[in-house]
Amino acid sequence: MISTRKTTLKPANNMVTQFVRGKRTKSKGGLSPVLQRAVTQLSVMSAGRKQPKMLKLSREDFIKHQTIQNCWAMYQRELRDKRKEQLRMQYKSIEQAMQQLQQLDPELFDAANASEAGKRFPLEMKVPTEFPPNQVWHYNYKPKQD
Amino acid sequence: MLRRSLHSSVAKKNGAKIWSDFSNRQAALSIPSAKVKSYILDGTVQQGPPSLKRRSNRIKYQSPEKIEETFKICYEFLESRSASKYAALVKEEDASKRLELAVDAERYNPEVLYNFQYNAKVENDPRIIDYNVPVYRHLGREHWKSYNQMLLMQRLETLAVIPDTLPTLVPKAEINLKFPFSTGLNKWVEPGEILSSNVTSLPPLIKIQEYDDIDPTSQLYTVLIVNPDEPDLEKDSFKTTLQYGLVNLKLGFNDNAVDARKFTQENVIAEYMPPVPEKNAGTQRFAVWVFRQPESTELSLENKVNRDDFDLRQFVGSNRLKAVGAHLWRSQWDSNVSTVRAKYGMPEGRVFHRVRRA
Amino acid sequence: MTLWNSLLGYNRVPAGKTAVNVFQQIRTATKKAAGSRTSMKDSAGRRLGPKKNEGQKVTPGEILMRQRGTKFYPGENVGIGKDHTIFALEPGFVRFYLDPFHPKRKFIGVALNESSKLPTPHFAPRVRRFGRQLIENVEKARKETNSLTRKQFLARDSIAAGMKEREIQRAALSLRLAKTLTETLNLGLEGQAMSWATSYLMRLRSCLKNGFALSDAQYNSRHCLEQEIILQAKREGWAQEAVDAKLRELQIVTDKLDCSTSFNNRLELTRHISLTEREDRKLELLKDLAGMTLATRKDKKEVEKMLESSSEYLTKSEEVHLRRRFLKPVQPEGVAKDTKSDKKSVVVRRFNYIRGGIDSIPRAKTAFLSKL
Repeated sequence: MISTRKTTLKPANNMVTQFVRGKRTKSKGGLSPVLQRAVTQLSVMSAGRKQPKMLKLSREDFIKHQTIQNCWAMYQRELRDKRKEQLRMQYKSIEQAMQQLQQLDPELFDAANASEAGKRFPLEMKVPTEFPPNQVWHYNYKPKQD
Repeated sequence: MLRRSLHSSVAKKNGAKIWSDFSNRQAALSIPSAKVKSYILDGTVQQGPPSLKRRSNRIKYQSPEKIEETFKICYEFLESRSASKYAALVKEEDASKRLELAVDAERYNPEVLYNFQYNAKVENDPRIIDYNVPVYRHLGREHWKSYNQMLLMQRLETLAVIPDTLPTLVPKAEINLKFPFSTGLNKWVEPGEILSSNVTSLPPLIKIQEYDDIDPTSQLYTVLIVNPDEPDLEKDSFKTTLQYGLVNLKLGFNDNAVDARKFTQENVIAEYMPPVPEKNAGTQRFAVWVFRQPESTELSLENKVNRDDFDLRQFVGSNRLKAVGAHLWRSQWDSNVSTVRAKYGMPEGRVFHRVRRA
Repeated sequence: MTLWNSLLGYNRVPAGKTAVNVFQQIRTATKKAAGSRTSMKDSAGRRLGPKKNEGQKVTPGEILMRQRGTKFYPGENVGIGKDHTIFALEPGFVRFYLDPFHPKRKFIGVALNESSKLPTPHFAPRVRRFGRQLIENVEKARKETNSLTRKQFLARDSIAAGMKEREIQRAALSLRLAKTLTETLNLGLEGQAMSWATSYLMRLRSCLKNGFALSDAQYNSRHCLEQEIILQAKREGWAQEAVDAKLRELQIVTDKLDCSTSFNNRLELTRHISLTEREDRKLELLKDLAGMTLATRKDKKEVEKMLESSSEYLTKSEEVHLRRRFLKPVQPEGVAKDTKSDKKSVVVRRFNYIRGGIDSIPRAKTAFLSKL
């Protein structure tokens, strides 16, 4: 059998594309031979053997490991609880505000509760900004009179 | 957004050294070995972990990277949380909530975890695992529930001890059984095991481990061993016999192995009768039932029980007993049965046909 | 499409060639060779269905239902075959019933009595039939008692031989114990007391061997003997005073044994060694061992002898511990000073985990226990 590779003696910077028998058209990422060998060997190995070895911890280190896990779980639990509590409070205050509104001005309440079915994006929504405005509330605001 | 970092300043919020100050803490909450304790809490000693016995293994051993620093931060964090639990415990009035707080304050303590995980749990050393301490009771219950309780319930159900003896059981206490007097064998019986008549020829030792928060000074217990498989030829069915009956037993959380040292003749309502199954009468089940007696009332010995045709349900109902634990073993006829019968002065056993007929 | 075609005149047949292109259908004589794919596939009926009706009386083994799959499930006193045939296991009366515990299933059961209903309540005890007859004939009963299964029959000889061997060993042990009690310890036990003493000590020894603590082992052994006395009294109808006297005698004997004998860590009987004495002698031994230097074979022999004689007051684990500590096969590198590499020294090659290479270390011959 004649090796077909021998015919690929061409300078790399030659811009003329010419079909050469046996030349690889797709490069293999340019890995070094050592690295390439390692990749090949890894690809042959089964997945189970590529798993990192189970840590063999001494009793003391195992307890330390458990303590770290317990601590992390507790920390996460606390964060979660805090977030939940905040959401609950927010919802509660919204509900309160709405009740007040219902008592003060039923018309405004109805307007606030108007169905928005089919509305993709509320155009009247305030554009979100990174910081609150310098003047948070215009206390002396008066609507324009025609 | 999740903040995935644990800053050390979080831990140092109220940095009380609640776990390391042993002036008013039980000694059982500390690791007895000073070497192990210092290795866990103070950091790696040069010689490696003391639990590895061989020096070469200790030298070879490498701890995971940064476990030391991480552990320190986590320990402080958990300790601060424990301190807040203890602070709440002082103010709390409700008993069940107090218990919960007492458990929560110690359940993540690495010393407690080490003591519990690496020491004998059934035959516990009260200096290390002291079941008077709520956290050890909690850990003990969790450990029991993880396997042995399920095993017991499975055996009780598949071997139909429930509902043949009592309707059902809500297990509260761990029961362990051993026959040390007859053979000198030091082995806990697995629920449902078939034992030879030689092993069961003398009364068993019954260990009753309570995990609930009861008052051990006033609580009394009843232990009954029944055999629901005694042949009843008149009815062509079976009847229940009482093999062993003990009442008014007082137990502690640690000192709870019931043998003749624990009771006198006053506690015995039925002397021990060893299992002596008859030839071809099949395998017989021997169910050990443990009951809590109602509020510190003693059962009277006056009304003698009919042990040959024992009605367990009626006995339990009339004495208002509450089943908290059970155990069982099985016995078959073997060539030693006649020796046991002779020893107890019982008559020779009947012999049945090998084939069951309609 | 058709409009388009008609406009273009595609389907128009050329006028002159009409007769030539006419397709003529000819019917030849044919017969279908095989039948349809689904014909000839019907089997005879499998005679499925209930074979017994509600309330009918049955005996064990009678078939109650033949079915494909579990149309009915086996209930009480009923079995199921590999083709889901349901058959009776007990004599009784057939019941078709529903069980609230399995709401989607239908059951077939056999009630033992004509009046009883199925299912029996979930928490009620099962209704069971014993179903075995007593063997009245004494001779036949004896024969049945002595009958063995094949497995038991085959194993009988080896079991008997093992038992005999154990019995011999036990007898030898009890003789040994008795000899030690009379000759070395001079306890002056005789007759009944002697037999109690030997059986007590044998039981104590086996309890210790099985890992009981000393106090538990002592209690277990005594309790066993007490029980034997009580049972004997019950059999022979002794008076309560006689039993108490006997128990007191036993108590005296066992107390005497407890305070005058102990077992060493090889489970040999020796004189009693109290806890304080144990501690004292242990300290003494430790001091002696610390003073020793292992340089010659004579030293090694002496240390071995000291450890050998320590079995009386040390536990097995303590002895092993001391052996490991004072009879090291190889001395640590700091202790037995290393010489420069010469002819008399031994070179040890060892992997250095820190450096990641092999170290060769010259050691003096005195560092090795086997080369002393």
